[in-house]
Amino acid sequence: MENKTVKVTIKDSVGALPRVIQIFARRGFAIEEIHAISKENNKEVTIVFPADDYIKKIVLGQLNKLNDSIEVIEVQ
Amino acid sequence: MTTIKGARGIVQALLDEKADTLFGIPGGAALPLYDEFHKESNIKHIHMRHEQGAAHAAEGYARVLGKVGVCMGTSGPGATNLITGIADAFMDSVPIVALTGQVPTKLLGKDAFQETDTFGVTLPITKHNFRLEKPEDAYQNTRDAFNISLSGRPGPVLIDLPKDTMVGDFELNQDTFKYAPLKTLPAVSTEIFSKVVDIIFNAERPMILAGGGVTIANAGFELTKLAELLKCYVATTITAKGAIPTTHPLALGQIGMHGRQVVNHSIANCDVILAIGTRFSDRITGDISAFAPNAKIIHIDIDATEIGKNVAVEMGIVTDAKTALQSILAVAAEKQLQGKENLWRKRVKALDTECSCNIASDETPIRPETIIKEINEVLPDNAIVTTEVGHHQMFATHFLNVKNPRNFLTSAGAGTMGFGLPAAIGAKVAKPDQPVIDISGDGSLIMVCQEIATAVENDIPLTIALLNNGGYAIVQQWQKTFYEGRKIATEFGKHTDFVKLAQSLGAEGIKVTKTSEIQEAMKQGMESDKVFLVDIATSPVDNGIPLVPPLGKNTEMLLGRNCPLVKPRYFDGE
Repeated sequence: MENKTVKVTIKDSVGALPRVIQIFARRGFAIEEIHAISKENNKEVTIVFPADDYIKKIVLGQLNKLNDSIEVIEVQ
Repeated sequence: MTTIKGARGIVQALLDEKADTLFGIPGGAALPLYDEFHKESNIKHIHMRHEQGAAHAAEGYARVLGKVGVCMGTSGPGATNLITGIADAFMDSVPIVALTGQVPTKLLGKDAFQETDTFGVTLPITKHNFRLEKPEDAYQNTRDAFNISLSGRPGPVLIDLPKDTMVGDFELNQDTFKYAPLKTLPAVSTEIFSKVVDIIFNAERPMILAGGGVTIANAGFELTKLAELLKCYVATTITAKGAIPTTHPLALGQIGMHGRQVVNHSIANCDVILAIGTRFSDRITGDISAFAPNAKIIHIDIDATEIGKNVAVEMGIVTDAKTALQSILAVAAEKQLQGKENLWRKRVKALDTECSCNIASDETPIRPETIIKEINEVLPDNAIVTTEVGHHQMFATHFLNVKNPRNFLTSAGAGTMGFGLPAAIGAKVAKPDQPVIDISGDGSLIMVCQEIATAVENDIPLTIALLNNGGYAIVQQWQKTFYEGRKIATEFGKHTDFVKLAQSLGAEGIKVTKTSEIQEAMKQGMESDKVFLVDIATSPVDNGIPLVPPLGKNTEMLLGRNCPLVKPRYFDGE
């Protein structure tokens, strides 16, 4: 499977990063790289992960579904 | 602006959210909040006997009313005992708010007494969770928790409350309060619904599949109306039981693993499925590759991540069931469309009759399906029925008559044994004027039997119809079917006397061993103002319900006793 990259901006509250990571962990999806920076009151998290179209759709959907996520962008 | 403690801020938020009941158990780390309940007479506290019961009771309350149920436990084991109920609410999209005590912030991570990382543990099983960082967050986070829990696809929200955040002061200004903004769904255009209408009204072999989303959106009326207009049979998942009255001629019944043959064969042969508020779980679809192979699926769900998750769909529409059904009805009315009787509908009807199980019997021990039939005879239309999980549950979902939405509460996704009794407590608190019956099994009841004491202490009259078979019958059925009959740990060596158990907890109870005694005993229970147990002896192993082997094809059911085999080929071709 090819690596895909997604950038998620999430409100910097208690547990922001675990919220993002558990989406992958509970489904057995791998993370190749993860990088987080603080930006104003938010965290901007960039994740590289191996995915086919189905896995990508699930990940993007679940990241969007998080109550605290503000923006989810697939990086080409 | 007033200066109050964090704990009082939480209570004020509960009051402002119109919460009138809380199900819980106190403990050291929960005491600052409990002390506030002592001073607050507008919130009724129901003292449960186990935190799992508190969470299920909050679920029962929420499932019946469609408003948020509230439960509470202390830190550590108090919180972990709530977990099962929270996970149950997560699976079935039930709006509850769980409050948990926590050790003071400065002790977090020190392995302090009764410290568990409740926030971390509940991350994957809540819609959202909070840990208070300061007293100032108490009011805001609690109100946001209610808003999140009930909005969109409902679900559980947990607030972990370090003790210092409850005892510290903050300035509350209710006048400037605003909910944290939530994501909103874009409106679906009329053109989309127009397309749906064209597809379903032009279909030769349409089926409607209704899930729990129809119940949650209070869209039972619209569902029934569409089925009548389209002259279309409705298959239901167990969370949609009652969304269309089970006695309605177009209500075909339950789909899937323990569903009706007519439903599984109809779904396999239909050309269009209008699926509303269902997530196509493995119990619904069986082997995905053989599920509805000839059908275009139109999937309507409020949760975008459900579209295409388990089955490929022709059309996915993200909105709530009520909006969708109302829009479809409006377009159909405008186009003056009506479904037509045709060969397909006649065939479904014929198959429906052909596969009806014979559930009347006077055998001893009494057959479980016969018990449900006898309960049907005396069940008032407004009765609320809960179930535990197991054989009795599947007999109830299969054969019980339910005429109103939100009147049948069962643990569907999580399959939690011990759900029914505490959920019945929550339901009765929510609807004190309606009779509440827990259809139970002995394996499940003994897991939560202490909650009989809760109901007795709080004068909550309930009838428990116990299908007592001395073991875990549904697991025995699997052992018999898939493990060459090797039974292990599915029988109780020594039978518990449940009547004596109920009496020792302050309830009343009688034993029933004959079919002819069931109706009278149930009436006695429902007319009593006490907790009343009807202990009905039933057969220990009874493959009374049809079964699709796990991930097997839905059209290849192993049949239950007295359920006639129907021939799938009956349906082939037009």
